[in-house]
Amino acid sequence: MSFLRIEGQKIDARTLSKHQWNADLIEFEGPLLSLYKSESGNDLLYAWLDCTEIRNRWCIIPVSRKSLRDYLEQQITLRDIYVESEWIVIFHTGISAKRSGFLRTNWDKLPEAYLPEIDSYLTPEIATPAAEKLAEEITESYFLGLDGELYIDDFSLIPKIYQQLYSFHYGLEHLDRPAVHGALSKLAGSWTGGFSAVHLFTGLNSVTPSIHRAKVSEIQFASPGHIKLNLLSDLARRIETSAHQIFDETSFVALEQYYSTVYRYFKDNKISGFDDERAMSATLAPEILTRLKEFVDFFFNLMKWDDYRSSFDYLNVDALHQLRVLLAYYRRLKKLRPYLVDGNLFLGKSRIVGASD
Amino acid sequence: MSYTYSAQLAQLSANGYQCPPAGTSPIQRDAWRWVANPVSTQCFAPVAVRNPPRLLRASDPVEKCSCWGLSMHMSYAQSVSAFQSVQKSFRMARKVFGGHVANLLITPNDGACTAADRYGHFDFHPYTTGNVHNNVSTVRAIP
Repeated sequence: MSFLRIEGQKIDARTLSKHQWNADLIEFEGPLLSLYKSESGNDLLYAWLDCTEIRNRWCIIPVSRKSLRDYLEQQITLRDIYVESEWIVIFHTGISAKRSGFLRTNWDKLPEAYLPEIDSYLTPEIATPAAEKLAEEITESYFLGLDGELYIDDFSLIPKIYQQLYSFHYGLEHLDRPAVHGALSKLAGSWTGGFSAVHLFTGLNSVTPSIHRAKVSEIQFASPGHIKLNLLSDLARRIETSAHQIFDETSFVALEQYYSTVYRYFKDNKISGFDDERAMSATLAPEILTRLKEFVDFFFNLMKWDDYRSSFDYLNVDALHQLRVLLAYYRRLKKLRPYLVDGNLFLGKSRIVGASD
Repeated sequence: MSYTYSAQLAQLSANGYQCPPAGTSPIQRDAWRWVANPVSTQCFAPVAVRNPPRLLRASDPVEKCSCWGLSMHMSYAQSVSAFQSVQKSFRMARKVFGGHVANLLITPNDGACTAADRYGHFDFHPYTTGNVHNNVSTVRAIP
């Protein structure tokens, strides 16, 4: 038994960017339709097509943010996504999950037997709980209000920091998604210093599907101005809560004292520095681990994140790594403080009259 | 009673993926499963041990509990309806799932069942003492 013939161009798998698994949308025992994300941030669907006695055949289909949202909400069909696609890549898997036989083609070159039917909706009876959850959360408009004198590097830094904070909160609020839980546990648990801090935030972004990312819908600036985003508003509120803690003089002083105390403790107990800490965690004395847990708890209190405590415990990482992650978050958050204090940045509202109405 | 794939389920749990999930219990239940005709032991092999396994990631067997279980439904109608929905998106579904539905009686000696979802779907995790393949009473083609 062999596969149906497909016309296309053989391609080297190395020409494809690396794709990160995000969620299975349809599965029965194993995946039939999965959501992936490319290195450039685009969503992709991996769909099962066919099998023989020795191989399974799959295809990769690019999908836009709008089409993914519409498919999850049963507004369009899987067939529509095939038909809208600019390209399709076919590949095979065998006994192992190793992929081979990459072929680039178009939807109209696929045999009809591979194309979904015209009513191929993602009905509730075949959608995974993960697919339902993705569909449930709706993004809304949100302003990063800007004012005063800003330079080009400010326009680079503010969105970058905001995106990192957003990714962090996305991770903590979506630990029930296996891709997020896996990524956060892996990234936080294999901490190797500053390098890992960067990877933590980019790694979380790579498991955030486009429909949940903060998308720019408008930029205006003539002092005042704004960046209008389309995002999950619950996460934006979380960032506002954190930002308030560094904006307020009293809580900021407490946070700075906390930060100094933690690093002094690291130094006194020879757990400072940014070397590979995987081996170090295993040898920490019980009293040190207890103290580190207290530091974690104290951070949650200072940031008014009491309900995140149980989420953090759900991660498969010890207190030292939890603390490293939290301090990395704090260092980023603190970079927004001058903008907030000096009246250059306003979270959640535009300074342009009428824009926020 | 021990699970047929107890070592693999234990590894999943050690990795932070509780397997089988909470609420899984050994009960007597009439069940329907997609099979080929004639029915073979392969029809009752979890995806993770099938050859070729229908898995996309090498990490699936240590991260996905469902690939060590057997998908079943509580009723014939639910089983057929779900198959027809799957087939609309994956027209070669009969090649991998079989295109027939088998009725079988699951007993507490055969294995444990997860709680059924609102569409009657549940996963069955077999015990070493059971052999549900022998419990099949009828096999009907899916229209």
